[in-house]
Amino acid sequence: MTWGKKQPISDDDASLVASCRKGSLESFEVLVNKYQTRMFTLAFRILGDYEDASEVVQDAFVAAYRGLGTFRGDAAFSTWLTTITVNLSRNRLQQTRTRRQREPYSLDDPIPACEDCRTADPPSEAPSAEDLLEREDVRKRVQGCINALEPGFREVLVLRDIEDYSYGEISSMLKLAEGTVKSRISRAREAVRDCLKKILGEF
Amino acid sequence: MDHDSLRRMLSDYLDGAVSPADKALIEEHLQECSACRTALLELEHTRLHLRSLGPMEPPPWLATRIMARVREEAGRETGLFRRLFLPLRWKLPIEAAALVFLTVTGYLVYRSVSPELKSAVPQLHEARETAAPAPPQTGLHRESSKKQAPAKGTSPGPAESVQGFREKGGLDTIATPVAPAENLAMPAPQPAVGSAGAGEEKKAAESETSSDYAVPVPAQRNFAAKPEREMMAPSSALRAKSQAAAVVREKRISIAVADSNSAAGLIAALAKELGGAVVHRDIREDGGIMVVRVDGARLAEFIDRIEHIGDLREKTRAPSGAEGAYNVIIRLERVER
Repeated sequence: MTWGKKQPISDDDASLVASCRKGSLESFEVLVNKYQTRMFTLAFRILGDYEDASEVVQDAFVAAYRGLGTFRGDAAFSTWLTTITVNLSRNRLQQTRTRRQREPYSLDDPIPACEDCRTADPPSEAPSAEDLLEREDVRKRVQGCINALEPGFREVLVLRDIEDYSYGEISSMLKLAEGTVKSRISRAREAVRDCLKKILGEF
Repeated sequence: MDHDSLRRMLSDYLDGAVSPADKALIEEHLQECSACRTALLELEHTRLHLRSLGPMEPPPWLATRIMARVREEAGRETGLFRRLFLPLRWKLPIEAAALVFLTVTGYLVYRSVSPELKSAVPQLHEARETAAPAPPQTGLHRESSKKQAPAKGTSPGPAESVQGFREKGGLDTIATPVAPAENLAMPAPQPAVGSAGAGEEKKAAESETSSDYAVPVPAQRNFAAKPEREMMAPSSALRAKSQAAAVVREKRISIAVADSNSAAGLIAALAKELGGAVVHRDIREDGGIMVVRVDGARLAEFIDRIEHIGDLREKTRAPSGAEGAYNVIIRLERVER
């Protein structure tokens, strides 16, 4: 079950946006409360860092407020907000990586460098995948596998498999060719699969 | 399509993002290839793991902080808008006051300038009125506002300057503020004859009359040559007015000579001897014009001695108590002897 895009997008968004354009901060607050969890989750899945995700989401909502005048309504407000959040997350990720002078992760590199992965139990002693799904540490490990991806691969994977956007929508949001989106998703899944196999054993 | 190509399409197949033809090929291959079936199963599991990642709980303060920043942003925008356009109840009176201030300032500036203009215009009229009744006695005509003032002893202007003036109708074309002698209240300064100032002053206009006139030299030049500039530059008008105090009187003489050039040379030598200088010289075979600057105290002597150079057409004498600088305008007429 996905929780992101499948959340019903209310038609009220359009009226709320219109109200915001007239200066209603209360309407914008409704939108903030409505989408903050979703945007925070999106940012966290891409960034893998709680603090960074908090800051990015704040920036994203403020940027959305500033840009309401340019929002044409061709896409849903949530899609527009998602695009802003993804772009800001990418920028933050690049800044963070530059600041930390870390070696970029590569799909060709040995699997991951996340703490959870390194401390994982040997596959032979690991519980089944179905059991692990119920546990928080499994989610952390999955997130660790996502963190091991290059930024460009994280975005498409999160948008497709967590946010449940279509290839066409992702292509439009990220301004990438649809073939590129497909290719990146495929490679990202394979990388995560290899990562999960390594830390979870059979699944 | 080979095994590797089909295997790379498994992710798309999982999402239903392949064409029907490719889908048929992939499914046909999956029936034969256990490795690809396993790979497809693993991809499904991977996707299941990813989709199982639930929502993250944001910090409890997130919405509050977002709205605080948004309100700050809204306040900044509103503040900027108000600074630019609101409130009109203050902006309009300020703008109206500024407009009134500018208007009053402009009017005051105009009033401060206009007396100069008014004083300049009557001078012009006065000069014409003064000059008009005076009969042309010597026939000396020369445009007063010729631009070039050549060095002492040289012929400053072309011959057509005199002729051109005649063709233009004489005094009517001269805008020269010439005050009548009886109105001269300002004492004429004692200019250094032959000094550098002579070059400036030899542009002085010569009126039609043979009477003695005081010629405000700089003012004359300014008003005659560039009156429109005077209108626009009050500071120039003030300067011209102050310089008008430096007056040069005129004395006109007409003599008959046998040889114009030699007579002109003698006159120049005489002027030099008396401490004067030739400020204009336009001599031809049949006559010409010379303007000699002499001091008023030596004017009588100059006239007396010039009688030895040629025959005076009309007996004249220096005015009693003459002082200050005099421009003696000498018209030479060649006569056969």
